[in-house]
Amino acid sequence: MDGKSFGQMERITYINIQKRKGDFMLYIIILLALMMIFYLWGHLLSVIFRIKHDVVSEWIIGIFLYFGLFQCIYFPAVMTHQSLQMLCIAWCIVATVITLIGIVCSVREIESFRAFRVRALEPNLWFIYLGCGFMFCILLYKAVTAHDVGWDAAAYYGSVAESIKTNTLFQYDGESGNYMEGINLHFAISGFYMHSAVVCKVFSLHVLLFQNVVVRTILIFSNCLLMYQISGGILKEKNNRIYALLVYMAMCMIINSDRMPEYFMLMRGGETKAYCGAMVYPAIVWLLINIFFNAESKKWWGYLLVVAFASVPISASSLVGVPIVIGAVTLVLAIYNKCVRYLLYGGICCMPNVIWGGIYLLNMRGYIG
Amino acid sequence: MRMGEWFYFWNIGQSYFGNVCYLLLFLFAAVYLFVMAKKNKTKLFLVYISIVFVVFGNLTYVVLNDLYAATMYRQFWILPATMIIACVFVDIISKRKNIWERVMIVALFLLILTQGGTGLNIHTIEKAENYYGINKEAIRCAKIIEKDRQKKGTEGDVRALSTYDMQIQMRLYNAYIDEGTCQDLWYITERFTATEELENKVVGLAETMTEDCWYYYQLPLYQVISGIGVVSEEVYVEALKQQQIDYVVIGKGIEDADFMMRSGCSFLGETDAYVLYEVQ
Repeated sequence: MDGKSFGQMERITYINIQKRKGDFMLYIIILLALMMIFYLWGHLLSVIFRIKHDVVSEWIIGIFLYFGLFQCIYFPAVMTHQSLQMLCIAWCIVATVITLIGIVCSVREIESFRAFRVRALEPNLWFIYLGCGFMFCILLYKAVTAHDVGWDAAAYYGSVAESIKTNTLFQYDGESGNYMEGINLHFAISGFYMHSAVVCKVFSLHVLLFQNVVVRTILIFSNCLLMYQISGGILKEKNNRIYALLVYMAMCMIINSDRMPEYFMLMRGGETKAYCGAMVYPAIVWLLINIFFNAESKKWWGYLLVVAFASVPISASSLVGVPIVIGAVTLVLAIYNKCVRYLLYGGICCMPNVIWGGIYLLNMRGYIG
Repeated sequence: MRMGEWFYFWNIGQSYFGNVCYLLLFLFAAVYLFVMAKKNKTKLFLVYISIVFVVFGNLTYVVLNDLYAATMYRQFWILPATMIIACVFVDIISKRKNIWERVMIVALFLLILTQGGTGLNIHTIEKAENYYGINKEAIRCAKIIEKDRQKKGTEGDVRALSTYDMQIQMRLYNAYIDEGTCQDLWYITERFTATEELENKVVGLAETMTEDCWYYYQLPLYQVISGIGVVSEEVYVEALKQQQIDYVVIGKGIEDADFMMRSGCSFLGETDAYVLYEVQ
């Protein structure tokens, strides 16, 4: 297809976008639906492997599982130059089937969910919950309304818009809209943006609103949950953990350096880089803390594998960083406990990134794509 | 390896926090954890130490230099520094029973935290005018262009010439509106912040341009929309034709209506800050 001519279908889709882009409620519904899907997928994983976990952990793992599986469908599609419509159909089928299975599994355990909810919320700390909720709302407002338009936003969000417009996958440059010879895996190795394209195309959403409202909200929410989980490795008292979360959120409002992941999260939360700093790395640290205290537990290693597998699909910035962290910690762990087996586990967890790195290098050398 | 590169991580460490106070707070928190920790927590601290050594180490820099040294600072994201500071702060507060001691610690903490050279992030993170995150003016201009595009029944993209910021914002709002000038030209000119220096640069570029140069047709367009230098109508018309520009979006105060009309452009519409012309 010529880069500057489009079929009637794309034109109709674009007109639909124009009509529905003001429907703000739709974005909220899609946000809630995605959040529910994350939990269901995480819960399904726990059920399949018979792991007992809390709602927060399941939700966090669910995000990584979701994007990891999306990559399994996206990557072959982008390398074989499939259309976005084809990817939409394939992903809708897979996501619907898995979500339905997740719903069936969750209905059985609705009682345990209620029990967790009662256990998690202590009545005497209502004012702290209120404070956390208030701070979260401020953070969210700050992130959603941040004005950040530069080359990065033009290229990344532009690639989503261009894919929807041309019904292709990363075949056009996001910033200029020019046709590109071959697939540039520097951008295309991560399926994160094409996931946005899929959702925007299926529900006729505007890219900017989806990225600014839905994507940023998911990041802020998951970051706060992850920080709460990390605080468990440092503070033992549950009340102190909630206080620490409150202080953390307040610090996010003060910190003023674009080198801090929190600042980046507020400023450029719709980009994969922000997901890398504020979600992927904290998740890795959270799991490694748990592994360090309970290295024999295979469930934590399994979760680490899931997160490592989904790290590149979420953000290509974690291509090198994640293996470094996992490698460093497992090395210390193996030396400290005098157990070489942990190195093997760590090596397995690093394998996805090694494979993605190999694919990336092959693409750079011009062998694939 | 050059001598300067050995200090690469020290330099990047200084700029990482943007403010040495954050770095000091994090170091204090790390030392506090090490001193106050019981056995299990010492293990935890060992993990952090190992990560710090690996990441802050020059070996990583040497290995990764060819891959993405320009964005190496992102390796520092592996340390959840903010949460560690918050946890240590809460731990210290919870161990103090005297209310005045607590107040003093909170005040000291806030004082250190807010000692940034550029103030709090509420001042530096610019608030967008709407949930699209782009300027209202860009949306208004994009709507006018889109209306005209649909009226003409244009199947493909149209090309709108404006400042780089406006171009990318209009394109983000409506992917059917392509950029009129390339980013490289914007980069060359915009990075000279002083107006006089910018003007000299642009005029200097114009004088040395030859027809086989990439910027030969880009530069006159840039000169018109930024109001820098003098461009003849013939050159401008040829540049519009060569770059296949469909619309010109110029800021009010910069635009010269007579010049635009003489160049074959017709008035399309206007917003509070911009005037739109359609290229015939």
